[in-house]
Amino acid sequence: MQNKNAGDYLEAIGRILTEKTEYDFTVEENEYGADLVSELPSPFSEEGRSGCAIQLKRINDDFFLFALRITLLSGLPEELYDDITAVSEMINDHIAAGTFKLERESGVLYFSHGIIIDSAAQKSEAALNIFTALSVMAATAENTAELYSELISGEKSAEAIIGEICET
Amino acid sequence: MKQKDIDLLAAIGERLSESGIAARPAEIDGIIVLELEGRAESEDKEFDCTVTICHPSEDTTAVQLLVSLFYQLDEEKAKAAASLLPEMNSFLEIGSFGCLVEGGYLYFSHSFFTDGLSEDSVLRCFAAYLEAVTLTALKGKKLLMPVIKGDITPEEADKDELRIVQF
Repeated sequence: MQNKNAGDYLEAIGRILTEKTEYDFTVEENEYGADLVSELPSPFSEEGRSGCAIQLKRINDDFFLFALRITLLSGLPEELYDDITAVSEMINDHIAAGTFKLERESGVLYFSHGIIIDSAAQKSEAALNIFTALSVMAATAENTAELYSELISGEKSAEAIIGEICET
Repeated sequence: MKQKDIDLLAAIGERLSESGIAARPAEIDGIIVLELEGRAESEDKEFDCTVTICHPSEDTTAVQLLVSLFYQLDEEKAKAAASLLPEMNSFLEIGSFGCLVEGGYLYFSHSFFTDGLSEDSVLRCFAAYLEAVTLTALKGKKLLMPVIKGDITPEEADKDELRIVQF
């Protein structure tokens, strides 16, 4: 999709999302095209905000692909990478199997999820579908935040956390 | 299971049958699922996929597609394959690979929300998701095969070649 079209489409989706939530969704152009970005409440602190980005990619004439990302944590200590990956893989297997992906990139941990939307669908349909995914992603982030806090603070080991996830 | 979930699975099954993919309803652990068998034309490989409806939260509905790659691998092979999955998952837009080492089960799955979409949109999107999911699963299976067969160790695998471009 050409940048301008993608930007216009995202802007329309952003207006609907802004109306539905109390957060601003704005279009941000970058080297890859355009992203719809917002700052949602962080599950890690009441005052904090975590980034949310929605990227629109066109698959073909019939379908759009939206790539959703919610940042959970940034500035991860490098020495905990392996433990965090192990816990993330276990969480991936347990959170609504296959719904979201927990990923780590350059010290940032985030949830990602891809959505395919029929290009003939109304923008309001696409926005509601994206809103649902973001809501569930945010709720899941809240549920997993505690696990990472325990790991990063050293309160619990990766093995102990994985054991607890398996028991539930 | 809610009647509307059963109806949605039936509508998906009906639409798939029209496009030549065999879809059989079955019951697994009290849950009604749709078992699909078909051929991914661009790979010329057969796949089997299970479709279920789940509710990640009280008022949301998701359709889950799950393709089985390998069953009953011994623990050593399952662990070797599992160690490559983070790399394989890192560039995917749709779905992710997972592994249950106990039981030696490797799979690829993706769920999509139906909320907000008309039934026709859901059915059209389902076809697009199914294509992406089955092709990715088949590519993943091919990439993992040398490790499963013991031809190479995970350390010997070329990390760049483990990345799958979906679109």
